[in-house]
Amino acid sequence: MTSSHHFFKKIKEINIDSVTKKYGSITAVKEVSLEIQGGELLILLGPSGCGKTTLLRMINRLVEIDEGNISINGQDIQDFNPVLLRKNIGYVIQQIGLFPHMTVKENIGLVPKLEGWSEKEITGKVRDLLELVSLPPDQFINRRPKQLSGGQQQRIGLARAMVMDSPLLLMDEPFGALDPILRKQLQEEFISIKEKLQRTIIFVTHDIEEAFRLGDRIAILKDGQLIQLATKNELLVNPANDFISDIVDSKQKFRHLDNLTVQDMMLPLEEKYIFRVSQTAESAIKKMRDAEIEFGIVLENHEYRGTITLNQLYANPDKILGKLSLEVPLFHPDESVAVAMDVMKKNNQFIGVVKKNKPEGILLADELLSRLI
Amino acid sequence: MIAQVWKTQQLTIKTVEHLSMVFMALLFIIIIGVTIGVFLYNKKNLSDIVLNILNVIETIPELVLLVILMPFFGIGFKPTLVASILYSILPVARNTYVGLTQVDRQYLESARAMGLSEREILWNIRIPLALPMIAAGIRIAIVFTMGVVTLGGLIAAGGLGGPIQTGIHLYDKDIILVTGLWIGILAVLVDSIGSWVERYLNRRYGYD
Repeated sequence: MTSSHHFFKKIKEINIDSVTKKYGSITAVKEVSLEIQGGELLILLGPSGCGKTTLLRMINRLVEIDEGNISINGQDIQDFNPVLLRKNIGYVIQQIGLFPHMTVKENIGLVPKLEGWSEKEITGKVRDLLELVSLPPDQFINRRPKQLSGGQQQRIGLARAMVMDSPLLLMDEPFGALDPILRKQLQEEFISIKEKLQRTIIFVTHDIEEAFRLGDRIAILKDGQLIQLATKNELLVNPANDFISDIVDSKQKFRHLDNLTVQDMMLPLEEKYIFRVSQTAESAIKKMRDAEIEFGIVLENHEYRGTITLNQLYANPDKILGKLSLEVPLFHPDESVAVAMDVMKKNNQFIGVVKKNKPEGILLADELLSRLI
Repeated sequence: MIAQVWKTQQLTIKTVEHLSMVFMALLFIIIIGVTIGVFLYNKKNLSDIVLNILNVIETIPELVLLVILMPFFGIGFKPTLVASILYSILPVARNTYVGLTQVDRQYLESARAMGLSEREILWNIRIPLALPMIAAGIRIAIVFTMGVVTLGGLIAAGGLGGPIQTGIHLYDKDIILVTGLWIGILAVLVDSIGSWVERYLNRRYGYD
């Protein structure tokens, strides 16, 4: 494949350093600084006119920066030819902008064609991408945009943005024009595509639910300024000011139950919670008292064995923990909090363990509730 | 009556002559008009002046234009061709220019964001999307050119204008009527071909 100008294979980090953009007397973006980590999906969230789209368009130089600078993997974007820079960055807009005079294949394959790929390479790539966005290639490859529904068009738009395998995707309210049911469906598909491809994605939206559903971290902007950049849990639990708490509706956190994952709400596994299988109950009681905790998890050679509580230890002070540890519900970090709470309730358990390969945290029903209220 | 006029006035050969003049003129008109349109798109600050000049030319009555050209090009086919071209460049050039500049922003935006250069955008996006508009300009040019070429009969350009002249000089109603109607029918036929092409382009390259 002859793809001439791959500036970056992988995004390590993108640094936005006190960037300002003015249009006449209006300041669209004012001294915004933020860092995007490679592989994450960062949401730019805010009311319309807050500067989020302008900020996004500065990254591929559709809008030129007035002050400050942006660097990708440490390299200032001003050092790149803007046309070549854009070939390295995928871009999806709400209006999609599929070219009406071209077929699906020609739309997706336009840049590869200009880059001199062979017909066979282009067809192969287009078919792969159509599969990826769940459109049967044989059925869709020769259609024109007019013959596609809104959701299908947006899928093609996404495929087109990914054709050059750019490690960075910029998305400007890509699902904004779709009806709510279709939007949710595309968001879900998008999440699975995202997991598969491991791209770095910067995603503009004004929809808080969408932000919570898709985002790893969320940057909230207002009047061109960055107000808070945090994970959803932090935004809910520690909103920086009233504006943020209004936006995330922190008084009604239950609303977000579906979009919060176990990982967002768990207590990270600290040393004080860890006990060994061979330990006696007596020594464990002492450790718990010193650390002022009432439960812990038992490991054997770093493998999870079970959970213990203080009350249960009091009843059997002579036994070793291996005999005492209880089974509690296990959760994957990406599982939804709503599902986890349901499982805990059904099992009549106040504690759950979060575990991927090894234990990562503890989910406490009380703690969860107090955070959500 | 019709058969007689057709025979004496050699309308078959005159029709061929007439149409070949029209098509030759159109060829020049399209090449020059589209080129001017693309040129103006690249030099937008000149567009007002150039389009105004072409506008002024178009306000000159066809007959006057033919007469003005005679000192430079003599009589016959040449001045008729030049007059047709001068007369019809405006609709083609203007429609090309407007078609290129008024491409919907979303297409330009996504083309730019994909990393197309302005040149690539012109060839791959703007020109194809401007085709229906350009075709509409050419259709206007067809109608104009049919008229000018017919008038060219006055200055011995040949074609179907010739028999009309003859008819006027001999005051032969039959010749005037038959030839005149035939020119009218031809104009409608050629225009309907144009309209068919325009509709096709609209389906193929149109937005909605």
